[in-house]
Amino acid sequence: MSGTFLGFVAFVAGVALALVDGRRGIVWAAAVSALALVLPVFQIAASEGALLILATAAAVGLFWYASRVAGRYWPQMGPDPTISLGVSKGSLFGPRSVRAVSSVVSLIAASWISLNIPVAGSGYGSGVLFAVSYVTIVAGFRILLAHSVEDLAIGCTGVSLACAATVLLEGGAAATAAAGSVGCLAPVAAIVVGWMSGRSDRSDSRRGTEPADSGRATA
Amino acid sequence: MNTYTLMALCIGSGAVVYGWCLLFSRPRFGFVAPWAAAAGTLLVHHAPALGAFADAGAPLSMGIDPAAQFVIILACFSIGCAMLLSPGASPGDIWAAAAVGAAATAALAARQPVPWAVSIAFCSGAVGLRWISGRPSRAALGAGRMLGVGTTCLLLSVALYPASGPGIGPLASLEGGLLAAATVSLLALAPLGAWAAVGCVQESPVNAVLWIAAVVPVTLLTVVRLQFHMKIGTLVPYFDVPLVLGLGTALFQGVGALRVSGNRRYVRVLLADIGLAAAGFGTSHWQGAVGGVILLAAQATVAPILLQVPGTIPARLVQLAEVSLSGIPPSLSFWGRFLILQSLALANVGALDAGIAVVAMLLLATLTPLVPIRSASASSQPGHRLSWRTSGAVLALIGAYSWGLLPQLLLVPLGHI
Repeated sequence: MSGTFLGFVAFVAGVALALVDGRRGIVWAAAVSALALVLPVFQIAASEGALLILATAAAVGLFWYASRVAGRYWPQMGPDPTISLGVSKGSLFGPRSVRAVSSVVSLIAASWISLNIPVAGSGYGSGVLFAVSYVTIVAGFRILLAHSVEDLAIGCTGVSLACAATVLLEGGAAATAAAGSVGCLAPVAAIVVGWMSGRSDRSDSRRGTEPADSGRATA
Repeated sequence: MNTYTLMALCIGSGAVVYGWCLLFSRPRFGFVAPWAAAAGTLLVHHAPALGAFADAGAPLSMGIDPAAQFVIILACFSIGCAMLLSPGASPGDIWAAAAVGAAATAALAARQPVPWAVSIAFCSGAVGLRWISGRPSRAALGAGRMLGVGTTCLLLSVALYPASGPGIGPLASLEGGLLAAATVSLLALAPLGAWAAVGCVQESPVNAVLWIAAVVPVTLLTVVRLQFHMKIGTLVPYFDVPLVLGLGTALFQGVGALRVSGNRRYVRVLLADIGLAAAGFGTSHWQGAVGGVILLAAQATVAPILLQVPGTIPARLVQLAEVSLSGIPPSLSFWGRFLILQSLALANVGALDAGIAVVAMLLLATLTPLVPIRSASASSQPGHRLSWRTSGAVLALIGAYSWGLLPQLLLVPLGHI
C-alpha cells in the first residue's frame, strides 16, 4: 500500500475528526480515527493490531449507546455535554472554523514529523507515520480548543486510538496488550459522554423539549 | 493486601459510603471512604503474602513501595479532611474521590510506563470531569483542556518510550519534550497554569483537593521515578524545562501572593510551592525530589482548611494553617524548601537566587494575615457543625506540625524515591 494513499486517507479522516460535532460526534470520531489508523497498523502489526483498532472503535459506539440508555434512568441530572462552557458566542470565527485551521496546522506538523523523526528505525514508509501523527495532533488540538465536554471526549478518543497505534508501531504485534490498555481510554470517554447525554435527554424530556440531536451551531 | 485489593478498597468503600449517604441523606459522612482507604494502605506491608510484589518483571505487575504508600495515605487523609470540613460536600464527591484514589493507586504502583500513563490519564480525567460537572465554568473547561493536553503528551511519550535505536537524536528529544510538556500541563506551571489559579478558588474545596492532593504529588513522584529509565537524549528537556518554568511559576505566583488576600493568596502560595517542587525535580538532585514531595505534602495537609469559604473554620485555626506554610521551623514546609534550596545551590547559583527570593516572598505572604486578626464572627457557626469541622481542622493541623517536628518519619519512606 503506497504511502501517498495512506496519507490521503489519514488527511480526510483527520479533517473529519476535527470537524465532527453533535450528540453522536464521539461515535463518528472513533469511526474516522479507526479508518485513518487501521491500514497503517495492518501493515505493521498484521491482523491482530488492526483488529484491536477496529474493536476499540466498535466498543466506543456500543458503550456510548448503552451508557446513553442507562443514563436516562439515573436519578441525577448533569450538564449537557454539547453545551459550550463559559465561551462567548459573539466571536468572528466559530469553533468549527478554528478547528479547520488547526487541521491545516496539524498537516504541516505531521508532515515534518513523518519526514524527520525515525520511529522504529524508519523501517516503514512516511505514510504510516504521517497517519498516526496527524490523527494525534488533530485530536490534541481538539482537546486544546475544546468548548464542551463532547469536544474533550472526541479528542480523548482520537488520542487514545492514535497512541494505541503508536504502541503497535513501536512494538509490533507483541505490544497488543499495551496498546489495548492505551486504547481503553476511548470507550471510557464514550461511556462518560453517553451517560451525560442520556441524563440531559431525560431533563429535556422532562421540560417537554426534543433532545438536541443535531448538536450546537458551529459555523 | 496487594495493589488490586487496595484499588478495590478505594472503589468499594466509595460505593458503600455512597449508598449509605443516599439511603440516609448524610453526604457529610463521605469522609469515611477515603479514610478507610488510608487505613487499608497502612496495612499493605503487613500482609505481604497476599501481595503481587514477586512478579515485578511482568508487563502489568504492580507493587507499592513506602514512598508510594506515603503519598496515597496523604492523599486519602487530605481528601477525607476536605469532605469533613466542607459544608457542601455531595454524594458525587464520594464517587469522584473513589475513582481518583483508585487511579492514583494504580499510577503509583505501576512498574511499566504504559499502565502508569493510562492510570495518570484516568486520574486527571476524573478530576477534570468532576470540576466541569461540579461547577461548569470557563476555568473548569480550562482545567479539562490542560489536563487533557498533558495526558495526551504523556500517552504519546510513553507510546514512543520503548523505541529502539540510539539514545540521542530527534526521537529522544521529542520524547523528552513530550514528557516535559506533560509535566508542565499536569502541574499547572506557567504558561499553562492560569486555569489553576482561578479554578482552585471557584471549585468546591473537595474538588480542588482532588487535584492538589492526588494528581500533583502522584505526577511528580512518578515523573521522578521515570528518570532512571530515560535515554540520554531525553534528559535535557526532561530536567531543564521543569527547572526553568518551575522557578518562573514560583516567582510569578510569589509576587501574586503578596498582592491578593484570602483564598486567592493561599492558591498563589500553593502554585508557587508547586513551581518550587518542579524546579527541585528539575535540578536532578535527590534533595530536590524529596523536598518537592515534602512541600506538596505540606500543601495537601492544610489545603482542606485554607480552601474553605471564610467563616467556615475558626479564624485561629486558619491562621495556624497559614503559618505552617511560612517556612519557619518546625513547619513541614521548612524542610521542603530547605531541601529544594539545597538542590538549587548544587545546580545553579542563579537558580538559588531565584529560589531564595521565592522563599522570602512566600514567608511574607503567609505571615501577613497574622497582623490583622480576623473577625470573631467568623467562628459563629451552629454548635454541632462547628465541632465537627473544628475537630477535622485540628486533626489536619496536628498532622502538619507533627510531621514538621519529626522529619525523620518522612525521610524513611521518601528515601525510596
